[in-house]
Amino acid sequence: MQANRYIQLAAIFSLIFFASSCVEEYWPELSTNNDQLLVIDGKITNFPGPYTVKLSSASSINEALFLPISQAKVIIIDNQGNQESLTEKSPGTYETRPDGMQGIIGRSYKIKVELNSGKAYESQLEELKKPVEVSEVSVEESWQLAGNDLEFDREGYQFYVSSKRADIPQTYFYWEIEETYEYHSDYEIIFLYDGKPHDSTYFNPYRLAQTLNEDTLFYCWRTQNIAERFSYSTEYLSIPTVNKLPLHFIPFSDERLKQKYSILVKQYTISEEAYTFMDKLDQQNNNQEALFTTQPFQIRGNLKNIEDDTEPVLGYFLVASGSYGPRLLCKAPARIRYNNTKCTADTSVYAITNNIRITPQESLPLYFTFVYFENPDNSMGEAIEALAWVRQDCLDCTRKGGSNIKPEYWDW
Amino acid sequence: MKKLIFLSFLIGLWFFSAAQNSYTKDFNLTISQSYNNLPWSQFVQKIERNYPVHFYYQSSDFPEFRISFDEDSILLKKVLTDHLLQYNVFVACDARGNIFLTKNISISTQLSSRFFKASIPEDEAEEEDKTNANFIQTTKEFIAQTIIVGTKEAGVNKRTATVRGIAVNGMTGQIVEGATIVDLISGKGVVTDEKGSYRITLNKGKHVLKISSVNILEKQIEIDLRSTGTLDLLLDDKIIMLQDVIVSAERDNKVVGTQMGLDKVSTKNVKKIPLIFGEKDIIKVAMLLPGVQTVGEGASGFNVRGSPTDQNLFYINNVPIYNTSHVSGFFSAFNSDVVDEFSLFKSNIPLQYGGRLSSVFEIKTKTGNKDHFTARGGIGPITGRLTVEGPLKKDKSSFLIGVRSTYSDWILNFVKDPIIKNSTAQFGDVVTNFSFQPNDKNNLNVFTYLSTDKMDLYTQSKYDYQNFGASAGWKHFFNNQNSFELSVAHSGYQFSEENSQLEVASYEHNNQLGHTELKAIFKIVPIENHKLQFGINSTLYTIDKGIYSPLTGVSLIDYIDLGKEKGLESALFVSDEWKIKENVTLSGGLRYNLFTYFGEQDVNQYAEGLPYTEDNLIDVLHFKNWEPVKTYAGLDYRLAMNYLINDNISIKAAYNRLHQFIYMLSNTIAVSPNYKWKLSDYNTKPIIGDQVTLGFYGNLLQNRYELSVETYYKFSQNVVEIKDGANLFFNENTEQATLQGNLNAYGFEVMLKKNAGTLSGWINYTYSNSSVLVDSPFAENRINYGDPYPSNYDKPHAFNLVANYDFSRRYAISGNVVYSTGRPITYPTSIYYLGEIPTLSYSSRNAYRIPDYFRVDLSLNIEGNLLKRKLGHSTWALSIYNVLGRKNAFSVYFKETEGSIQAYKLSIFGAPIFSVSYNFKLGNYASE
Repeated sequence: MQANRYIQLAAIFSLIFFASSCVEEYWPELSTNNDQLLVIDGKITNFPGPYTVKLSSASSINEALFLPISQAKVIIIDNQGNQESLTEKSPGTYETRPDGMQGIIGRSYKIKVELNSGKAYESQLEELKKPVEVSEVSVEESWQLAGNDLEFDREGYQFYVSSKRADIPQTYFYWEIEETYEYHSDYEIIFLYDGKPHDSTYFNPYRLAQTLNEDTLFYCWRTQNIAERFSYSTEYLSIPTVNKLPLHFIPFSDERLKQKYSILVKQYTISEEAYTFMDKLDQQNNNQEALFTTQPFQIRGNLKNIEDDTEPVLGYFLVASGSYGPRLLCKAPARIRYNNTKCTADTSVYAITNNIRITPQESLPLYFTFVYFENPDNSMGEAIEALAWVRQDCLDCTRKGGSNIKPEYWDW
Repeated sequence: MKKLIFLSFLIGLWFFSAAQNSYTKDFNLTISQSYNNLPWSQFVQKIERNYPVHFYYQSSDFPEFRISFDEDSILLKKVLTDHLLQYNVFVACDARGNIFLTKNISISTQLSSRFFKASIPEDEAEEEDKTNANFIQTTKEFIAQTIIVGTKEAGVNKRTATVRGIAVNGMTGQIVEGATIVDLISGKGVVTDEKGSYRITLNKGKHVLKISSVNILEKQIEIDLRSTGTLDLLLDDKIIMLQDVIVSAERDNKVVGTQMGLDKVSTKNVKKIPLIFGEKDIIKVAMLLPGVQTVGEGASGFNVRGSPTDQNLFYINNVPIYNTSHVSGFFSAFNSDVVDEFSLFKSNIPLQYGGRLSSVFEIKTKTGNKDHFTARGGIGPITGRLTVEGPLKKDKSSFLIGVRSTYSDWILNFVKDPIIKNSTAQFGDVVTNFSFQPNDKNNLNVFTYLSTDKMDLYTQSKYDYQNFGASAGWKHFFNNQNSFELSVAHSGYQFSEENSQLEVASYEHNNQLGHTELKAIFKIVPIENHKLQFGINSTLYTIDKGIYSPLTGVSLIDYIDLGKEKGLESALFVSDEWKIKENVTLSGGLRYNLFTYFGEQDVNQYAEGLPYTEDNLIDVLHFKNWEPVKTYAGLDYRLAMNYLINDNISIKAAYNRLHQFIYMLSNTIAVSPNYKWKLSDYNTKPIIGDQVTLGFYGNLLQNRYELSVETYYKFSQNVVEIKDGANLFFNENTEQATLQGNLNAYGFEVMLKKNAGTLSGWINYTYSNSSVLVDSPFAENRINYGDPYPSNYDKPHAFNLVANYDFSRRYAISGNVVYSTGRPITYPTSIYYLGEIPTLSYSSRNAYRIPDYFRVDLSLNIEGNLLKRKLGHSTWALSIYNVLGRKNAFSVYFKETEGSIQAYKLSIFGAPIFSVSYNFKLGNYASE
């Protein structure tokens, strides 16, 4: 972003009244040839297992797909001769046993992969280093300035992490951020269709069931990892510590901040090689939009074909010792208002009866709400009350990927 | 309805043309015997009935008579004249078929052929219109309105009249002797006598008089001559275009001599080229020459014949300049007002230059005016310039000082973006040149140069850089043919950077380079047909790679001293140009280079034959200050031949080898401002370049056109490339981040140039190829899997058109058309998931190309009036860069944000850029 602004500065400076430098979306014609390189994505940590390793093959640039590689032999080996063979839980996803191998600080680990085709791969032993504790996770209101003219400046929360001082001057950090946010359904469930006829009322001529208890599908919490990579090295620092390193940014316009938001930072200590790998991926992704960019290149991981070390293998098998940061909880400032729901309530007889008709038995129950709205025809300003059909994910919050079970730490 | 209008239009047109034809014929209207022997009144009636003519006369003017003639056919006019002259009645005919018969008074019959437009043959009439239009448009000296001389009454009865008067210089009041006054219509002309008076007798009617003389401005006056009268001519001093004369006299003749791959451009020739932001930029002009490429707009430096930017050496009056641009590539660091001309040597670089493989860009500044004080300057949207010059001691010594600076950041205030609004970018440069000519045998010259840039990207980063240099030169002439030149120069480049993007890791860093050079050359003609040159050239390089230090108290950045280095490059050279036969010239030379890398230095020693990695480090050698660490010797050769087919056509061939002991550390595709220079050292070998060139040169159509065709093949060894993903910033051991490989380039250049005439300019086409190979038995020492890859600036097809059309001395329109193949680019080949993040994988380097580049620029130059005696002369230059507003791609890139991948195209100048600049100078149009 910085470099892009540099271009703008130079360009604007060079112009009269307007910036003519511009960025536009443009998809060049690319070869659809796919070299189907092996991709490994997995790690062993000091946290309790099971540990997961995913094997896939890279997909064509025109179509991002996870192409699993099944029936491979995957073994994690430590420097004391212990090893465990992983089992394939789902296509391409291999796991250790829950009571199996545990990452122990001070030991070194490597992975061996043997594909169905007979090709064998191995990584170098990497030490599970001592973790460094997180000292603080913080958040500040800030403006994220647009990196190019397709974007807008956005106001939101910038999250930061700080660590305690590491024992080793050259420490390499890698963070994973787990976010949890609360969200609500757009409408409350008042009626439901469970396939059986119930008493009809004035508002309910359709003989739907009326909910008697509190709507348990109204409040949800979703937990997921942030799809961003964060890594840092203390190599050039006088003190091996991380001090307020920016993590992710969430604009206030984002629904995640509408109710309550929380992050849990997992701070890992990784090897120099692993850090270099992460850093290169980051640089390659973020520095291309500038005037002065470096030449992109193939970033290979730590897995090598035993017989042919020129075969490129993508991804990395991380040996990472982690520590959890204090959970941070926050909420958008009160001045921020959200009102943009994409859900509309339909009170028409057709919408209600048709949805009942087309929903198969196994998808029941079908939820309905009850709405109040101003009657434009009524000069007295009397509100209309009516039973209404709403898209089901607007009533059942679990359909948006979250769970209706409140996390223990949530009351704050 | 429309058809009807069209039809009537056509009919009308036909009528008109038919009528016109008959009118013109009336003059030669002949009549037959059928009109013979008729009484006058019947004769008139019959003529009027049969021909589209009308007679106008008073019947009382002459008695009734009978027409009689013997001829079978006879001109009507002759018949009338023959019969009526006896009554003192004159006959006049006009183009409309009116025949006037007047007693005692002659209506000028002569007028009829010119006076009425319709009677003038169409092509001639048009020409006259054009001339008239020119009078109005071009200069106010050409008076469009007609001056009436004499009166109608006084001219009655006379066919001719005499104009007389005195020619006076309107500005000095002096009479003008020897001015020619020509009537453009009749071609009749006279010359003013020693008293400035003239006298010319012409037919009555309209005339255009052209007055010209050696020292007056040519003038054309339209007069309506009615009778004999006086017309005094007020004339203006002529501006003598000495400058033009010099240019044509000095014009390089590419056909002769053994020099190849040379483009010489004087700033005068390019002064009307449309350029961006009103800045006349010689580097941008150089990019319109064949074989000169750049990665993209805004990239600093350029690439000559497929070579990297660090293989070019820039000299301005012997001072080497290491960063040739302001605002890192948007403007050149040379004030064009002080530049006299520049030469770009792309091949067969003269032996006195060494140390760069690809090109030498030699800029010569003007020397101060030894006769009188003068000044010039200009204001554009970005900069203001002022150059003053004059004699220190008349005819013996002079000075010149040129200053250029941005005068404000006002443009940035128009931007909403808070960062840019609060950012600054400032630059400036100062040139001084003192020259002394104590006598005919000696010339002394002292020159200084300073350029400075400050860019402050608010809250994010600051870049400051300076070039400073000085040179002193002494040229001694033993006689006409033999001379000696001595020059000493020092140049420094300093770069500093403050990065505050991440407060806790904010840092500052300075690095600098010093280049001190001594050169002595003898140019001797020992025997006929030989031109001998020999001399020494020595350069001391000092590089301070600088210290990274924390910028603020909060920053945790550690101090990192990247160290200093120095090296001495010395050379002895000798060359001879031998004219073997009248049409065969051979030149050859040798330059022995000796480069020593000196301590104080801690040098890493790696295991023999293994890659330079931390693991293979076996020892660190310490060298004391000025202790030689490593010495490289290299012999440069030059060999060239010219075969003249005839005076205007020649064929040349050349082979040469050069050595380079310094290179640029930059891992960006377009060279970024924070690059560093590095010397060849214990672990990095010097770069060696060979080039073979073959060319054909012709001066065509009386030297109006200059055609050159050159083809070349280049091979460079030990070219330094940066390893994939290597960190150059905090790196103390750059040998671990670099690899040395080979560069192959070949190409074909055609250039057609027209130097003189109202339409001038050039057109060129280049086909080229440039590729790099970095291979090794060790996988980590390969780039692109050890396969060759196109260099970043490899653009196979390039076409440039530069044209200037002078409407008149004051108005000129110029245009550029630039086309090139898009530069190579590396695109991703596949995509994979790491966790939830889609990740791109790239493979073959530079396997794709960005869209082709195409740009058209236009400019209009308006010169002030051409008066000689005036205080100052001004010029307005209006230019539009990228008239078509084409969004030429600078790069195309892929980016993953929040789980999805998108590709973008970045254009630097995606809209037409309009600029106006105003230039002025003391004196008149032609003053220097």
